[in-house]
Amino acid sequence: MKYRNMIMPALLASALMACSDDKKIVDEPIDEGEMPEWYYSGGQLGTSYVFTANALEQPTPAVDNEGKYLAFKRGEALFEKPFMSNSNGVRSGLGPVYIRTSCLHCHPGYSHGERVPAGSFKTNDPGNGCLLVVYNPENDAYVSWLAGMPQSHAIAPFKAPLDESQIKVKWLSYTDEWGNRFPDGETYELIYPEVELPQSAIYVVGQGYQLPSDYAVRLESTIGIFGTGLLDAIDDNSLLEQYRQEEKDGLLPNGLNPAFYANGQWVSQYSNSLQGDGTKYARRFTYALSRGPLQDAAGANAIWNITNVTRSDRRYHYLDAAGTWASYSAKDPDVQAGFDEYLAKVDPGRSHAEWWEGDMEQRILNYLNSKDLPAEMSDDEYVDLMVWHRGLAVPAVRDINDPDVRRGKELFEEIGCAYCHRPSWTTGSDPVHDPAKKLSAQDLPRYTNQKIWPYTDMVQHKLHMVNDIRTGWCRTTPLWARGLHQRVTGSAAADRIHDCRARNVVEAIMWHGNVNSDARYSTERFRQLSKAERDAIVKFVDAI
Amino acid sequence: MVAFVLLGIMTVYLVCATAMEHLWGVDMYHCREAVALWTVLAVAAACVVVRRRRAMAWATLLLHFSFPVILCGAAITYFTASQSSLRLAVGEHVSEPVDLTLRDCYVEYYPGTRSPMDYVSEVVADGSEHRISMNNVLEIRGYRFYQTAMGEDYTVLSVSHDPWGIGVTYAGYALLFFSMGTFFFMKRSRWRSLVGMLLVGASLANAAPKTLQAPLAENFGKMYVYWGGRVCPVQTLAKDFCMKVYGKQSYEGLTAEQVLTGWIFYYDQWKSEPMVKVKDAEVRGILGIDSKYASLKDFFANGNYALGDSIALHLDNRAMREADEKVQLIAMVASGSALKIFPYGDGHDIEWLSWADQLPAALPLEDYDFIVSSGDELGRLISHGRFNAANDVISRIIEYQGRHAGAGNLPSAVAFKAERIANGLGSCLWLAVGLILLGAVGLLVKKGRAVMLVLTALAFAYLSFVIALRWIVGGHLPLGNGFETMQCMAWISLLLAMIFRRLRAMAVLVGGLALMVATMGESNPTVSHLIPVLASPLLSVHVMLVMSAYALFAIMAVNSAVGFAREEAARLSTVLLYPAEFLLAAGIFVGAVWANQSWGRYWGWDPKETWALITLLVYAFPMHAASLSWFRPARHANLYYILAFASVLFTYFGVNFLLRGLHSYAG
Repeated sequence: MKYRNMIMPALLASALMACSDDKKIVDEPIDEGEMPEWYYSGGQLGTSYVFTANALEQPTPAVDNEGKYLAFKRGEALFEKPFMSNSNGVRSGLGPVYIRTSCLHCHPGYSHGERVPAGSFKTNDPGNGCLLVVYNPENDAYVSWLAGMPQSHAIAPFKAPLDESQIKVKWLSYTDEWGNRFPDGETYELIYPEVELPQSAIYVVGQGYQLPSDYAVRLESTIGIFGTGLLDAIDDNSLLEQYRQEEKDGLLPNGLNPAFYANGQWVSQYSNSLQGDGTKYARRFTYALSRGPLQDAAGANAIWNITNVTRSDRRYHYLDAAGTWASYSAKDPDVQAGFDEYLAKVDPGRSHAEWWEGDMEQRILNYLNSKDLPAEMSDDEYVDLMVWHRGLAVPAVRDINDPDVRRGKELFEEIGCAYCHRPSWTTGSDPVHDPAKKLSAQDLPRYTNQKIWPYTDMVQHKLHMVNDIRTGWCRTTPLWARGLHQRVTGSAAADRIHDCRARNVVEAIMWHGNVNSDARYSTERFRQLSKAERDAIVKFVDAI
Repeated sequence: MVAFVLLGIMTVYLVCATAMEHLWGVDMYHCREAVALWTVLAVAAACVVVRRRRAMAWATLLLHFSFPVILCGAAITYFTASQSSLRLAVGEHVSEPVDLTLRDCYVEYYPGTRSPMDYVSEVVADGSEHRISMNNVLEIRGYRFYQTAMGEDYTVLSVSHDPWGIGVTYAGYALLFFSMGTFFFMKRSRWRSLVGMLLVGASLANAAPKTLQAPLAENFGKMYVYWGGRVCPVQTLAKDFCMKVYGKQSYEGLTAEQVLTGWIFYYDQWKSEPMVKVKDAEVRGILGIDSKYASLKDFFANGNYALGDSIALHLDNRAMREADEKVQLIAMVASGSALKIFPYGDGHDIEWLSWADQLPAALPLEDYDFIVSSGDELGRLISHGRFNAANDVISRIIEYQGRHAGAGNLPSAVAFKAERIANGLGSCLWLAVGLILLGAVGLLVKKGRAVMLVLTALAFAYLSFVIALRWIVGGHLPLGNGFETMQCMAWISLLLAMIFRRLRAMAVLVGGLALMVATMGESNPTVSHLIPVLASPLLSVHVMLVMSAYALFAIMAVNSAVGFAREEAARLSTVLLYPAEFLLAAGIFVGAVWANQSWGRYWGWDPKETWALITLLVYAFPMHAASLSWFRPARHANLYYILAFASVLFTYFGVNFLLRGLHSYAG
């Protein structure tokens, strides 16, 4: 009988659960006026408000305002879909050597790349956003016998310059001077990648080439593409102002990179004399600050040199600077044996006599070093791609009303993070410069006079990390929307720092702490904070 | 009598064996003594059959004859079968036992994600190409190759060779079931469910995470989605999702649709929510959690997927695969790839696309635009708190679905409505509990027959309604799986209860038990195409059968305790004994078949297996009251049923805590 007594309340409870709530949907609109300025990461023209898995793939309001939505969508398809080695048809022209078949490979969910797991280096692993950086440790210059972005795939009969299956990535533990421990006892772990590239993996070495010098290998991850249009809209003079201010302040132990700036003036600027007229522009993109305006920066070049898909102003192959690979390929009997078959597909109309007639080695060289290859990507396609590239929005700040996030913002500024991770910039008149003289202002979405919140000073600094980035100089990475990385990629880790060595924000901050680092002071301050205060900073960094 | 003594010795021997193995790691299953004991037992059983062949009914005779046959099969396996493990690097070639070269091995991922879908080894064997994967065994000349582990550039296959033993053993089992078929009728309950249900109200909610308002989430649930191989309301996906991940159809007072949309639109809050049920202690250890529920974050502490490395190396670890499956399901929902809500095609061959899919090149631009922008707009409106406008987007998507799917490819309005009603009804657990209670009261109290009939009729009507809904939704008689079969059995029992007055209480009890079994089956629904290795229907049948048996043993123990001195109580318990014992035997057998399919051997002396066998032997004694007169007095029989239940308890709980093995997931 007592079972019944036990059961009745249960029955009653389930009957109650069947009752439903009222059916009215109540709006809770965000009062635009109440939102602080820093909510709109990309300003009024560059912010999006989607925080789902597609958060980083949204067009800016400027794209819509200027009626460029369809071009944006067409460009998006070029970015997302793989290129083929066919010599005609949609997205054709892959090879003869290439790194990856599509952009999305490296930019999962349009975000930063994901970390490379220990083991072999597979460019085709989903999410692997890393490039190999192979350089001479004596002078920090890229080696001449590999392309700056080394290719590890080839279309037969050609052979890949690098056999990536021989490359090994190891993750090593690092203990900092504080024993990876905060004063209050909380601990953290630090790991960093080391890459082994045996000589046997290098094609030209196997063909008899003597390496002129020693080499070192590092990993460099892609960073997000979104918001680059907004950074491009910052005036060159504003950038110069920032350098002058930092020089005047003299706060940073490593100073400013003397290769680019000294004594109030640029030492070196970006220019393109090959496609363009050599006009000089302030450097602003890539870790190494190797690029100026967006229209001739990483994305505009990557679509050509990652895939080796030619276009009207780049009718030649992206190969190593010294031509080493081409000269050894031309001598390789396997390549010679298969070249006719390959060429019959590439040039069925035999329009280039110099590829067809004469000595085989010379024919191959003529083809590989040709400067008048057919354009595989049309100019219209390229414009679409750049509309999309310049049109990607930055998501608004999340959880902006969370008291921890607000406290984190105060602390972030208080302990000095905000000195290099400069919170905001105001864009200029955004004239849209293209050093390659291909694109004009009418083609692309523009962002004039926008207050944007990228959290970067656009200047290079040194952190002196173990296995540091090539040269040690690294442009301050924008922090905006990095907190969405795991959301959009599904990565197990936050994948912060240039080689994705930091698995969360705390690790990323602690990698700033070397005794010679420009961020030493802020890292020390961070260590002295209470656990709750450190958590607030982490929450803020993930929210912006 | 000698046979019973031997049976007793065997039972004790097995108990000792599990203990010895656990304490000192001694294998007492494959030694000479064990083989001798089994042989003697088989001979004794054969002798009994021969000597008593006239006294026994033919079914009973056949039943006993099946034991020596099964043992014979086991002996053949023991003496002739081989099992080994084969580690192969890519390109490696072996000539023994079969000429085999590993062409390639790789992990297949769910489209657009990094969640492993399957582990595949491509081999060339005897000159032809084959593909071995988790649900795909290669069988060549009596050798069976199973995928068991995979490393970066090598694969591990397990190879078994048992051409005769399996056949003989299965034949013995076939004989067993054929003879059992004559008494065969099922029932079951589980007092743990009662306790569990009472505890539901006790777990007090902490602040629920952010999600959509119930009515908006409800409308989201009214969209069509292609899920689990058919088109159904998103509500069904939401309920499957909740059940699969959390084990219940709601979470912290939120509806299943609210949970689903929470994960989609407020992912950052939900990833810290402890709602991933982790049943296995070992997996909890890997995650470093003490409680039964993990948050998604727990799976990704320190930037590594906690199960990542273990999974590929322990493909046969069911508990790990199950936890992994939950994480992958969450990923599919949060990324939107589970929401295949956009029909695409020419009316005959419809493909369903999600926001996360690579949209087909041939998709008209306006459709492409609608698919992409509807998702983005929904996200934007919701993040701006403009929920009514978001609701309009949902309505537009439903409209789009109607326009693009074509009439024949969507469920009819009636079926759709029926499914939504069926989803709204929730679990039949309360009805099952009510019926068991009603049946039990009816057995003990002889008054109030009219009330009993009315209640039975009401329950029958309700169940008929539920079954009818299912019929309409599925478009075929709902007898397609274990759940539906059990539901049907409950329905038949209630029908019988209304017709036959004398059977009524008993039949109501059986109906309640059958319904309880059905409810338990649904607690682990096989949703969609998730993990091939776990998708075997044998597994759920195995669990259901064994659990039914345990439930009956539990009822017997309770019944015998309540009416300890009474003859009727002992009789009722004994009546229940037969179906219980048969269910257990059937359950063990189905488990063996499944084990043979996935691990390449049908019996492995896993502690759980051994203890199930011990339980089977323990309960075999009172079945022989005709020979063993000790069981005849009611007090003796009742006492035995109460004490014997200890073996069930140990099998179900004790093994998990004290011993370890492949079955360490339950409890």
